[in-house]
Amino acid sequence: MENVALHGLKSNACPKCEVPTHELGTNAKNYRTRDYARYQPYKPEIQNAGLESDDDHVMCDNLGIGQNIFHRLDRVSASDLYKPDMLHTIYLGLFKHMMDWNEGFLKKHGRLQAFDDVWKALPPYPAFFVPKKAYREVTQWQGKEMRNLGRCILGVLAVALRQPGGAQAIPFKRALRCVRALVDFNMIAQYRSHTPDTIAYMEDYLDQVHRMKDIFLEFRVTKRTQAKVDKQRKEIRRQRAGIRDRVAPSQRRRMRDDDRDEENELRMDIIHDETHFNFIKMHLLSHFCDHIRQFGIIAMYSAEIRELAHKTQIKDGWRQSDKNDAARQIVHSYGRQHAIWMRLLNLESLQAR
Amino acid sequence: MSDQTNLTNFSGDKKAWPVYLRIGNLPSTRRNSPGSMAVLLLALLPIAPKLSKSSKADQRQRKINADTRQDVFELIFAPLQGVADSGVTIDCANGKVRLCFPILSA
Repeated sequence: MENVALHGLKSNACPKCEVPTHELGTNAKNYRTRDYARYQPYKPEIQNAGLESDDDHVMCDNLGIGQNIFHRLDRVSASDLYKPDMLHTIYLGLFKHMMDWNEGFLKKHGRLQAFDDVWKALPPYPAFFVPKKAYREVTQWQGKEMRNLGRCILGVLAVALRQPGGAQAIPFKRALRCVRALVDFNMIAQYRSHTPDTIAYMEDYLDQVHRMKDIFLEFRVTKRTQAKVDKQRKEIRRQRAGIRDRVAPSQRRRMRDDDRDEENELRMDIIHDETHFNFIKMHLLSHFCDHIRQFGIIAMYSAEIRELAHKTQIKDGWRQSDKNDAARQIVHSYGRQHAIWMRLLNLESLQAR
Repeated sequence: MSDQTNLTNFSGDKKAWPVYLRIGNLPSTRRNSPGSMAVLLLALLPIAPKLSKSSKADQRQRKINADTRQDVFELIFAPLQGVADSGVTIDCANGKVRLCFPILSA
């Protein structure tokens, strides 16, 4: 969110590279990094000065080149400013999406109840937070809980999907592999140190996620696509009703089965055309590996610590203020506290000496 | 030795949009531990009320908001600009004096 505002992006535009919106869901890595000096002539306010419209121009339009607050500063490379963020991209982003897909998947195959049962029966374990409610009963998820979920989801899912029926075997396997790759990616991203090998593993897992994600495609259907599917189905049924009246009852049954197959096929066609994985969090994962090579482990710059600071620095200050011109009071109140804490730390270190 | 100023912004709730300052030179375990006072509240950015997408007046307001934000950041970064140009001399722990440049990170 804040990246959109600060870098002057369009939503669904990557802060690091020039990837177009329709390729966010693929594992495309070969796009140029953003270079704000190059965009200068294409900015909206200069546009009217009579520049010819060309390919670059169109591209810039898609990228959403607004005002980037940072790009004019010295010794700042604006495209490097975005740092991967485990909390929002993985825990509250992809894990959340993944659970939505899983829910659809389990529902389709009638395993939802089994999943909830296993989920609630998880045994306690050191450093593991036992869920008290079934997944669907929880309305709001915190980052910590989602991280916890990442630890146990694979096992739970494997148990819930055990003993597949004949036609289910392959989809189950694919779903498990997709979830497993994502979870593995997340686990390695949490490592406190990396070698070229572990980074290679990460890239490998990400590849796997992208190869296997199609199994969940039908659960990413938007309302608009769903409406379209429904409309089409109605139309087909109406056409057929006319035909069916003229056919003998014995043939009707066979025709109905054929029709249903055809309907399903059409539905899948529409879904494949309209549904996609092109959302920004899917793309951001592809920058994780490069970030580790360039700047070190991800936890160093992750968002948890800033969110933690909100509590002591902003919310406590807000509570102590009289809500009137609160910003000034928040800054002052924390400034004073900080000064005293620093003083204490100094005294302590003097004493230790 | 480079001085990496770790500047992080986050719009947490609707009321406050803080800008934090952290020093990137500190080891990450220290910098990221909650009790270490390593996160310094630098400023609170102004937050505009919610705007609709379509209306013309709101479009203009949006532009004004972006300009305001830019100005606030220019104010924040103003002290850094001179230093970024010419560097600043800082005493080093081994007795030497070093010329340092700030490097901004997000």
